[in-house]
Amino acid sequence: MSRFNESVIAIKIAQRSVKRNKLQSFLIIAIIAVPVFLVSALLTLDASTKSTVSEQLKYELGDAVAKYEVQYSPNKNLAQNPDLLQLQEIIPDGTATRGELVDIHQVLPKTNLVAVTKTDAIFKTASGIGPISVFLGESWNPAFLNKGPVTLIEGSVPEGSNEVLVTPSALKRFGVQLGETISTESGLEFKVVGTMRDYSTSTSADIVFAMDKSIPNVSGSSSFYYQLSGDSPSWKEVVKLNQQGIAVLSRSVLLNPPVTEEQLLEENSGGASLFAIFSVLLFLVPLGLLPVVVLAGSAFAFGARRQTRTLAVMASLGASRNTLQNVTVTSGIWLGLLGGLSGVVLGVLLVAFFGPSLVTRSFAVQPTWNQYPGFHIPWMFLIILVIASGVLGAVSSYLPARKASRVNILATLRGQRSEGQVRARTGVGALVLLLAGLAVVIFSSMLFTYALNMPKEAVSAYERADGLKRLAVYGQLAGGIITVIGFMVGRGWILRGIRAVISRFGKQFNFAGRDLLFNRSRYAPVLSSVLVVYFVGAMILSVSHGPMQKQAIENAKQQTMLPGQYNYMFPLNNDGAEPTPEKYLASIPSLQTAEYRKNMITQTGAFTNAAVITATPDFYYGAASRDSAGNFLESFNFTMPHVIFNPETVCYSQAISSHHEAFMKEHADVKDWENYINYPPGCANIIEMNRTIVVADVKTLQTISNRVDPNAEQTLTAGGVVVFSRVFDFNGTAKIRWTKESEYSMENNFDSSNASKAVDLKSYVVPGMVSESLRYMAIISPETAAKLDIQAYPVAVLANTEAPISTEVTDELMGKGIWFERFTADDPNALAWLVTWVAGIFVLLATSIALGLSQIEAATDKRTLAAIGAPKSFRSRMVATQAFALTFTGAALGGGVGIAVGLTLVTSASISDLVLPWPQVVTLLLGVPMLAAFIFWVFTPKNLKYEVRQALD
Amino acid sequence: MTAEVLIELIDVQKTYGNGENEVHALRGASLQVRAGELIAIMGASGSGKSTLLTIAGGLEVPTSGDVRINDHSLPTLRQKELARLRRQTIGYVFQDFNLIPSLTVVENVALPLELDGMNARNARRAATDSLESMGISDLAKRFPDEISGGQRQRVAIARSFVGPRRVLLADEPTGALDSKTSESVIRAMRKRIDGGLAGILVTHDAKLAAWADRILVIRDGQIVDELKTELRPEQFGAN
Repeated sequence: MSRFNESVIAIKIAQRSVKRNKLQSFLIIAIIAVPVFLVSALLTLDASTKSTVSEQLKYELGDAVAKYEVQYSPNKNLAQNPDLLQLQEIIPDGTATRGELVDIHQVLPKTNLVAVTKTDAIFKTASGIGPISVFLGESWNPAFLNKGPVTLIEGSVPEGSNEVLVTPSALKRFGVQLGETISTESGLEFKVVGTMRDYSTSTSADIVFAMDKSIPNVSGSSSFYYQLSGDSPSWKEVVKLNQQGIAVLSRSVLLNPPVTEEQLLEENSGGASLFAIFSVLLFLVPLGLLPVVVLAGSAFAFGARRQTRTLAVMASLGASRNTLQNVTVTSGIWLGLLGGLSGVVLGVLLVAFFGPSLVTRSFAVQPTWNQYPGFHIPWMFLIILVIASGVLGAVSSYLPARKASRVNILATLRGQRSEGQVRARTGVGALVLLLAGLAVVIFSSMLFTYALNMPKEAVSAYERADGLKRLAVYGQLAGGIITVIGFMVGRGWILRGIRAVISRFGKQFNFAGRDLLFNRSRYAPVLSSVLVVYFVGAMILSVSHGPMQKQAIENAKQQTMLPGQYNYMFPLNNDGAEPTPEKYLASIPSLQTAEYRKNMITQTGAFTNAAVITATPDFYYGAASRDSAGNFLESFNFTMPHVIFNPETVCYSQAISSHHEAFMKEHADVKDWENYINYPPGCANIIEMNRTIVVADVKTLQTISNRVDPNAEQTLTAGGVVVFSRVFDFNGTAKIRWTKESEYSMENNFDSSNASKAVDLKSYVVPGMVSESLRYMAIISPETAAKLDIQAYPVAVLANTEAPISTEVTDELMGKGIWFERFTADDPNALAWLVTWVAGIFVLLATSIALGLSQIEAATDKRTLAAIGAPKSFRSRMVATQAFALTFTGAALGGGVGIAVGLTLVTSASISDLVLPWPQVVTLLLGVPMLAAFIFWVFTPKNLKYEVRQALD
Repeated sequence: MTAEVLIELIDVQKTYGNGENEVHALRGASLQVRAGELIAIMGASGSGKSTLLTIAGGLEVPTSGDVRINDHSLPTLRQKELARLRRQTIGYVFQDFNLIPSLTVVENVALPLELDGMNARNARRAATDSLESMGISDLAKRFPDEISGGQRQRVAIARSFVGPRRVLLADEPTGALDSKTSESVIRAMRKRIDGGLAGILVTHDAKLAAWADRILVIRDGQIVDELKTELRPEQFGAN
C-alpha cells in the first residue's frame, strides 16, 4: 500500500472521526490549541508592539521630516542605528561623555528647528508637592497634533505662556478642572486649557505641556529638535551628525534605510544576545513542551483506543501494522494541525480585539501609548506554529499508534480485553526510577553547593564553577523528571493505592475505586497528565515565586528618602571642579536633620520602619572625573574608607560580556587596549572599583536588608563586614581601604603614603539582595568603625513599606520637605495570585480535558449502570470521587516533586530565602481537585439512555 | 476437470490456555474446499466452528497442522504477507458486520482495495459494482448507522466480494437478520461462489446450510460428519 493511499485513508478516517465524536475531538484539539493559543497570542502581541516604518514615522515624526537630539560631546566613535534615536559607541570603551555639547543651531544653521525640551519641575499638587514632567516648547505644533506624536483629548491648545496642557492623570494629581490654575512650588501659575496624550510616554505619566521658556532655570533637561520643512538628512549626513554627538531620526533614512555595510553599528538585538535567548529557550521549551506532549499523548491514547475497533476491522481486511500505525499517526497530525490552527486563530483574534488593553493595562510595568502601534500578524511564526502542532500531533500519537497497531484483531472485534490490559505491572521499574531521580536531585544539589563555594582565584575558576552550576541545574531538573516518570511507570500501583483508600468510604466509593483499577488504561493517562502538569507548574511557581516575590517586595517596600541633601554626592563629575575635603565635609547634613526627617517619615504611618543611613563619604570614585575628550583627570588622592571589588569577579563579568568580545576583535594589538582601561583583555590592569561603607547597628542592618539574618548579624557584631554582593568577596573576607584623616594634612603635604590603611575583615554575603539595599553594599558595626577610626556621616533615610506608595503620599511628604525617590512596582501578592490563577486555570483545563476524555470512554459503563437502576446521585458521586482522587493524587505527587526540585534549585543556588507561596500551593493542591470534582459532579447527566455496547464502534 | 483446491486445512489443532485451564478448540480438523464450492459448518456453541473459520481466515494461528489458502501455507507467512493475503484473497463476513462507522457504505466496501494500493476512483467504481450486485447501490453515500441491520450485513458481504477475491469466509452472516433478508444475503453469496470462489459458511441455521454444497458437522473440535446436499433450496423452490 502506498504512503499516499495510507495518508488519504487516514485523513478521511480522522476527518470523519472528528465529525462523529465531536466532544472527544474537541477535547483533543483543545489540548493542542490551548498552548498554541497562548504562544500565538504572545507572538502576535510582540509583533504588534513593534512599529512598522510607517508607524514609526507617524508616532515619532508626525509631519516633521527629521528629529534631532544632542546626546554626547563630539566623538568620532559615535554612531546610531538608522531607526533608533540613540547614539552608541562603535567601540564601547566608555569615552562618550556629556561634557561640552554642540549647539545644534550652529551645526545646522540653515535649518528651521522646533525645540521641545523635556524636564522636571516641582508643582503643587492636590496632596502636597511633587516632581512633574514638563515638556517645554510647541508640543502641540500642527505638525504633531493629532498626527501621531500627540493627541488633544479635550480643550484647546495654549495661546500664551501662562497656559498649559496636561495629561489626564496629571489633571487628577493636580486636583483641578479645565480652566483652573496650577502652580509651581516657586509660585509660577498656569491655566490648564486642555488635556493631551503623548505617545512616547507612559500611559499613566503626569506631564505638563507648556510653551518654551515659560518655566525658567530648568536643569537636567533633554531637548528634541524637529525639522518641519526642507530635505531630511541623508544617511551620510546622519553619520556626520552622529560624530558631532547628535542623534537623528530622518524620514528619508527611515524610508530608505542604508544597506548593512554602510551601518556602523550592529543591528539592535533588543538587549539580549542570541545566545542568551537560545539558552533560555533551551531550558524553558522542553519544560513547557513536557506537559503538552504528555497531555496530547494521553489524548491520543484515548483517541487510539476509541479507534481500536476501526483498526481491528482494517486489520481483518488486510491492513498491515505499518498501515494501522500510519493511520493513527496521520490522525494525530490532522488533529494536531486542527488544534494548531484553532489556537493560532484564537490567539490572533484575542490580540486583534484586546491587544491595546493587554499591552497598556496588563503586561508592561510602565506601558507607553506607542507600545501598541498597530495590529500585526507574524505570519511566518504562526505558520511554523501550526506545522509544529502537526509535528507535536505526530510525536504524541506515535506511541499510542504503535500500541494500537499491535491490536489483537479477534479479541477487539469480540469486545474482549487483551491480556496486556488485564495484567498488572510490576513496581520494580517504578521504584528504580524513583530512587534514581531522588539520587540525581540530591547529587546535583550537592554539586551546585560545591560550585557555589569553590575557591575562585582566577577567571578560569569562575568559568569552571559556572559550568558545574549549569550542569547541576540540569541535573536537578532531570532528577525531577526521572522521579515523575517513576510515578508514571508505577501509576498502576498508585491507582491501587487510591482504590484502597477510597474504598473505605462507602459503596459508591468502592465501586469508583474498582472502576479506576479495572480500567487502568483509561485512567492512567489522566494521572500522568495531572502529574506532569503539576510537576512543571509547581516547579516554576516555587522557583520563580521566591526570588520574584522577594524582588517585588524589596522594590515595593523600600523607599529611600534623601533628607534634602541633593549635593551630598560631592564633587560633581562634569563641572571639572577640584574637590577639597573641607568643602565635602561641609556639604554633609547634620545628624539631627536626618533623625528629624526619619521621625517625620515614621509619623506618617505609611511606613513599617525607617533608619538613618550613615555612610563613609563617596567621592573617591566620583573624583575620577573625565574631561570633554573622555580622558581621566588626575584623581584626588584623599581616599575615603571604602570596600573594594574583587577584580577577578569584575574581570570575569566583563570577560563574558559581548562588549568585551567586540572590543577584542577590534583591538588585537595589546598596545591598543592600554588606553581603554575599562575593558582590558586580561585582569592585570583592571581598574580598581569600590563602594562606600555603611556603619550600622543590628537594627539598622535589619531595616536596610529588610530581613532578619542571624548569620549577618553575628558577622556584624563579631567585627566583620556584611556585604550584599559577592563582588566584594575574597574567599570569606572583604578588603577595606582608607586614608586616615588625622595623618593626612596640609603639614604632610597631603602625602597619602603613611596615611593609607588597609584591613581584611571576615565577610558574610547576604544572598539575593535586590533593590535599594544594594546602594548600601557593605556594612560594618559602629564598634568596628570606631576601632578602625573610620568616620561616617548620615546621608539618607531608608524606610520600608508594606506596599507601593501612591503619589498622594509622596506629594504629601515632599510638601513637608522630604525628598522622595520611589520605585514603581507591582503588588507582589497580586502578582502571585495572578500567576496562581493562570496556573490554576491551565491545570483545571488540562485535568478536565483528560478526565473528560476518560469519562467519554466510560460512557458505556455509565449507561449500563443507569440501565440497571443506579441513580444519578450514585453516578455523580462516583465520577466526582474519581475526579478528585485522580487530580489530588497527581497534584500531590507531581506538585510535591516540582516544589521539592524548585526549592532545591533555589536553596542550593542561594538565590533567595525559602518563600513557599502556601496560599497559592494549597489553592492549587486542594482547590483545583475540588473544583474538578464539582464540575464532574454537576455535569453527570440525569437520564442516560441505555445503548447496546456492541454498536458500530 | 477437477477445480483447484483453494482452502485446505490439514490436521489443524488449536489449544487455548494451559494446565488446568487448557481448552482444545480444534482437535485435528481437516477439510478441502475447491473453487466454486461452498461448504457449511454446523455445530453447537463452543464446538469450534468459529475457531476453524478464524484460523482459515488467518486471524488466528493454529497450535499445529497446516492451513493453505490459494496455495499459501498460512503458518509460514509473515505478518505482512498474511495481511496482503487477507486484503487480496480472503473476504471475511462477520456476524456483527464490523463496518467502519466513520466511512460511508461505498468507502467501507472500497477500503480493502484502497488498502491494497488501488486509487480511490477505481476502488470506488469496483465498490459500486459490488454494491449493485447486492442490490444496495442506492445506499452508497450513507453511513453505517443510517442503515438497517440487514443492509449493513449486505454491505459487509459486498465488501468481502470486492476485488479479485478467491475465498469467502462467513461467520453467522445472517445471525441478526430476518428470514427474508437472510435469504437474499445467502443468495448473493451463493451467486459469487458459483462464479469461482471457494467459501465456508458457519451457521446454526439448517435452512441456510442447505445452500452449501457440503455440510460439515463439528463437535468438540472434530469434524464428525459430512453431508452432501443434492438440491439447493432454489432448486427445490425455497423462497
